[in-house]
Formats: sequence, C-alpha cells, structure tokens
Amino acid sequence: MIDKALWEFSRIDDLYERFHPYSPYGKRLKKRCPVYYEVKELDHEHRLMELFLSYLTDPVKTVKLDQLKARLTRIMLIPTVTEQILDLAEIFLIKRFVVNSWGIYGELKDSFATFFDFNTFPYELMELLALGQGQTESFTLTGDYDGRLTGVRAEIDALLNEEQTLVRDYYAVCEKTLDLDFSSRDFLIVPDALYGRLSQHMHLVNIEIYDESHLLVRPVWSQKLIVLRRKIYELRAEESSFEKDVLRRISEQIATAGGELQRLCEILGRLDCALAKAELAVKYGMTRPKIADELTVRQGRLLSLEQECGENGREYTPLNVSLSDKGALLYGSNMGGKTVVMRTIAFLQLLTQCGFFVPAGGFVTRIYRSLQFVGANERRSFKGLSSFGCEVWEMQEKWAQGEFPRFFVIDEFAATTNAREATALSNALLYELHREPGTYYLMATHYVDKRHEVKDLKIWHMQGIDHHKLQSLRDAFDAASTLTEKVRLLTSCMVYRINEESSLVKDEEALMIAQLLGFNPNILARAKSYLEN
Amino acid sequence: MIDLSSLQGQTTFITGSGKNVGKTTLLCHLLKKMRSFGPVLVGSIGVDGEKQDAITGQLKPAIELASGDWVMTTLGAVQQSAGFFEVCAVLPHVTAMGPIVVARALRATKIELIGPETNRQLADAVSCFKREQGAVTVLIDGAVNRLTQVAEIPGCGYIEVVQIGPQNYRKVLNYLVGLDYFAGCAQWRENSPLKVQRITGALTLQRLQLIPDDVEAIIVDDFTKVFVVPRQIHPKKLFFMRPLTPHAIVVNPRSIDVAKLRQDIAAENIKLAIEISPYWLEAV
Repeated sequence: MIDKALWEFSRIDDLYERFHPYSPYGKRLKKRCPVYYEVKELDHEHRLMELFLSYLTDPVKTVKLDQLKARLTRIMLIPTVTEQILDLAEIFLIKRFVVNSWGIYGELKDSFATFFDFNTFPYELMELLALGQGQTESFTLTGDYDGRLTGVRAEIDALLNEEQTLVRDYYAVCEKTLDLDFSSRDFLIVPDALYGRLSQHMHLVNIEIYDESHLLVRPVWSQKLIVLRRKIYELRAEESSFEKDVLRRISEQIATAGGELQRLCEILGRLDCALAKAELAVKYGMTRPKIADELTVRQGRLLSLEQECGENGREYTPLNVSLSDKGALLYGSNMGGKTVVMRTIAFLQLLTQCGFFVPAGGFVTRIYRSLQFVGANERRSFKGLSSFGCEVWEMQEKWAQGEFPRFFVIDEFAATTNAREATALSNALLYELHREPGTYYLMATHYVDKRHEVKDLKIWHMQGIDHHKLQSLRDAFDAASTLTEKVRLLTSCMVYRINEESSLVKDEEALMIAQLLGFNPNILARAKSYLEN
Repeated sequence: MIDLSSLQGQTTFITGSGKNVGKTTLLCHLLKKMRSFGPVLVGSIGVDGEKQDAITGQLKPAIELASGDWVMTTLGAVQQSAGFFEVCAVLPHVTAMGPIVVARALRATKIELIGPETNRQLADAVSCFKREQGAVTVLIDGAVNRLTQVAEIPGCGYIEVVQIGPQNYRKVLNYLVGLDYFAGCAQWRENSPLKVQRITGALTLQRLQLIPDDVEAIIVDDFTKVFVVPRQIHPKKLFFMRPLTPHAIVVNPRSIDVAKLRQDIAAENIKLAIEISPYWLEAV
C-alpha cells in the first residue's frame, strides 16, 4: 500500500505526466497505477521493459516499432462481451481490435508466449469478421455470411437501377418539355409567369404558390416509380431480418472467444505500458533497479528538480547514498537538502514499485508492502485539532496500519511543539522505528539529540553552507535587493553533500540563514545574545 | 454559381445566420454536384431540430446518399435507413442518440444526419477522417450560430445561407456588409509596424471605448467575437488571428424583388460572392 501523502511528496506524478501509452488499454492501466509488491512480478515487468529497450536501441530495427505504435493507437476500447446481440458499431470495434492485435501478435509472437503464455490467437473469429472483406479495419455484413443476403441485395440493386433509369428519364422529359432541370434539386422556384405553361403538364409537376411572384414546382413521380420504391422498402425489411440473423451468429462467436479477447486486452495494455516505460527510460537515462536487502543510490536524480535547476541555470547535484541498516537520521541546516534527499529516495522507490526504471546510475532497494509518509508538507487537517495534534494522530494512524516490511519517510516530526518535548518525542520515535522488526525509515529532524538510544545509528549530516564561498559573496548579499537574488546566492553557497557521521555534531546555521535573507537585525542580535548567555 | 471546384477535397460547413434558413436544402444540392469531383463525406453538428424545410415549408428532405458516399451520423440513423453500409470508424464520444459512426454507403439511400455534440468532437472526427482518407470533400450541415466550429478545424471553409424577405431586408443587407468588411480584414502578422491591441474574447462597444486613441489596430480571434459595426471601429484597423472568409453566401429570397437586391448589393460595394439560391430560376 502506498500512502497518498508519500505519492504526493515524491512528485512521482511529474513522471506519470510524461508517461504516454498509446492504446486505450495502456492508458487504462496507467490510470490504475499498479504497484508491485512481489519480486517475481516486478522482475516480469522489468524484463518486458528490457525487451522493448532492446527493440528501441536495435540498429537493425528487427521489430518495427513505428508500426506497432500505430496499431496500438488504432485500437479502441471494445464492448464488454455478453450474451446479447452486438450491433454493427460494436462488431466494427471488435474487428478493428482483432485486426490490430493480430498485427501486434505477428510482430511479438514470442513475447506473447514467453511473457504471457498466450499461444492461441482467436483466428477463427478473425476469419469470421473478415468474411468477404479481408483484414481491413472496416466492417460490412457481406453476402458471404448468408447467401440470402446476396440474393435480396441483388434484387434491391436491380430495382435501384430501374429506379435510377426512371428518374433519369423523368429528368430528361422535364428538361425537354418544361426546360426545368431537377437533376440536382428536389424542387425549383420559378417566376409565376410560367404557370400557364407548367399547368398544362400537371402529370409531370406539382405547383404551389411560393410568394407574390413565384411558384414552387416539384416533380410528380410516376405510379411505376412509387410501386418500385415500395418494393425496395419491403426487400429492405427482408434484408434487415437476414442481417439480424448474421449479427446473432457473429455475436455468438464473439462470446465464445470472449475469454481470449479479454486476455488480449490485458496483454496489450501491459505491452503498451512496457513500451511507453522503455521510451521514458531511453529519454531520461533510466536504469533497471535491483532488488536486495539494502538501499543504495548512485547518481540518483529527482527529475522535476533537475529540470527546475536546468531552467534556472543552477547546478543539480545527483544523490549518492548507501544504507545497509534499517534506516537513517538526516539532519543539518535549513535549506541543506534533507527533504530533497528523502524526496529523491521516495521518488526512486515508488518508481521501482510502480514497475518503472529509475533515473539513476544505480538503485538497489527492497520491496516494501507498505510505504508511508509523515510530514508537514502533505499533512491532512482535522477540525478541532492543532497542527501538532493532527501530526500525532496521523503518525499513530499510519503506525497502526500497513503490512510488513514497511518504509516510513518522516520529515520534521513534532516541529510545531516545544523543542524540549519535541526532542523527547523524536528520540522515542527514532528508537521505536529502529526497534520494530520489518520497519525501515528515513527520518529528517532538528530535534533528535545525543540521548537517543539507537545503537550504531546511521547519521546523514547535510553539509550545508560553504562558509568560504559565503564570505566571498558577502558584498553580493548586501547588494541583493530581491528575495529571488538572495535565494539564488544562498543556494549557490550550499554544499548538497551527505556526510556520514557516527555521532550528532553541532549544527546551528539558522540565525545565519535568517540574516542572509535580510531578517530584522535587532531581533537577530537579541537572539544571538540569548544563545550566548 | 458557387465555384464547386474550390470545395473539392476541402471541408466546408453550410452555416446559417438563423434557424431554418435552408442549410440542409443547399447541402442536398451540393452533395449531388460535388460527387463529380470525387468522393464526398456528409455530416452534421448535433441534432438539427428543424423539422421543416425553410423554402418549401414541408418536412425536411432526407440526405440522399449514392453508392460510394461517406456519411457521419448515428448508428441508429444508419440502421433506420434503407442502405447497406461499410462501417469505417466509430467516434469515441457516445451522444445521447447513440454512437456516431463514419460509414460508406454501398448503395443509394436516404439518411438522417446527426452529428457530434461539440465542436471539438466534430473537429477531431473530421481531422481523423481527413488524415486517413485524404482528398475527400467534406460537407457539414452546420446548426445555427455555429461559425465558431469553422474556426476549430484548420483549413476549412464555409458557405453562409441567409433568408431574406421584406421584414429583414435591411438587417440582412447590413449583415452582408459586415461579412464583407470582415472578409477584407487580414490575418494578424507579428511583424506589423502598427501599434496594436490584442482583444481576448469579445470586442464589444464598451471594450472598444477603452482602447487608447493612439492604438492603430485591434486584433481579435475571429469575426464571431466582434459585436460592433465597422463604422464604430473606424479609423482603427481590424486584424484576425483566424480570418474566416466564406466561399460564398447563398441568399434564399422570398417576397422581394431580386433585381433590386442585386442593385443594393452592388450599391453597398460588397465584394463577397453572393449567390441566389440554386433552387431559384429567375428566368426560363
């Protein structure tokens, strides 16, 4: 189970927005966001992606991916197969699905068998849907389905030909006799001066008054033509009943192949998503994560931040960490990058469990049954509860639920209550996180102190401000007039590096950061005197 | 006469300034004429809802398809017709009247046109059809005040149908003058040296009055967003992001002197192609 708060915290949606399957089944699967909790299932998904990666990077282009994508794009959602008689539109959709699936199956036959144990394409149905019309996507109830259709249609066509001849003859007579051309018009509006002439041919035209000076003239069709048209309608009713018989037979055949069609829909969705994921992997230099009992990130990138840095001309520092223990405590100065470290790891972890490759040179991790986040950024509110109240309620709720192994990402726990009790709570939470079997964690805080009781605690200290660089930029800080400029200078002085420490070191840069951001000097001076005394 | 060759392979909407002005009647005529130029698709936007023909006052003529014609309408309309069809596409949006299909008639039949419910859906359907079928002439029976749909599909044109009688004579003439003026307004080009103001949405009298005097030109999306008359815009120039110039304007006259109408059109110096209805025989 992935906690919604962790989903939002990780900014994984940013990648989902760049993930574009081609078919409606791929899109539907994308919407469902399947999460993998079993190594075997994940391995299956990864191998499928690797297969498409090999096609994408194959210089010989053994598999014609452009055609494959075109076929996936052309597929539309097919109706749910039931016992009911399908209509023409529904059968068309199924034929279009079957024809394109057949093309994809032909291209990836081995993969269908290897990955999905699918060896029996519904050939019989395809042949039935192509009767008399070939494997085009369009669908017609041809006479090949039922000889009676051929017969009745031949009769209708003969009558239509006869009708056309009669109509053409009529037009010719009107043109010759009345100088009126009805060939592209059902009626004509003529000057009323023509009444005298037209009224002598009332067997040919019907005359009505249009306005004060014009007449509306319509053809009068012969008795023979009317009888002929009635006959066409009678034959059409007969044809319609034959068509219904054919639709029933085709629907029965589709119902018989319903299971295979359903399976094809699922497989196409999986293949489509694997292809789209492989394309993402190529585009963003993503690699296959490895599953083992550790957490190692080599050159891990949070794509949204990397892009943001690129747009703002700032250097982006990829993440490199390794953790064989149950968890780590992150601490360091404000703006030092604690949250970004946790967010990057959460992003890579969620991508892994959602079956994607990851934007990293290497990523080794575990598979967790439950992934949780507790932190101020994504906190829910509850009427009547303070921020702190909400936080402890949320922590308790998440602690009590979820399956093992589980992974907690905790950002600044108890930051909204007094420092003394917050430290006590943070120490205790850290102890419990570490003690609880099957629980893994990343915890960022300012409040854990040396009284914590975790033996061999893994401490990740964010290096923070480069004081030499800061000194060299003092004049620039003084000259900076806008917050944007100040932030840019401050971030340029930050060293986004994790130092692994064996114990907590003194870490007080908050007042300096406040000063650099132009905070009230009187308040700052007084705060410093409090610290010194 | 409408220059039919200019419609070949194009998408053309038959639009009208009001309800029941004779759009479907003109569509029937054009469909028969355009076949000689190659395959034709006929379609509509939404449900017409006008049961009676503007000119004859009788029940509307159904669209007469010949074998080989393409039609975009509901599956229900296809099934109720006496035709035999090849279903070539099913649109993804299901309307209140059922799914809309694109089908090719395999024999002559009459059929009712019911189109997609929104401009966007129609635009998508026509674009998709044109992509797959190429140089097919597309004729769309447009509902009233649907000129904005023309703007939705790049490269499509329209034929405007107006009905004119003694009661609306001056109003229609002014409308034609307006259309002519808009047809003379160019598409906005970025490199113009003029001092311009871009108006997003409607250009109303109130918004026009707020435009500074030194602004030389106003840019509007298309003329359907203009709610002022040319003399109110003068001396500023008007540009459009998407100019919409009709192929032709077809006038259905009733109880008026057509010769005088022609004189008045000439007196107003209207340059647009204005045609009297093809159903109208002035002299035999």
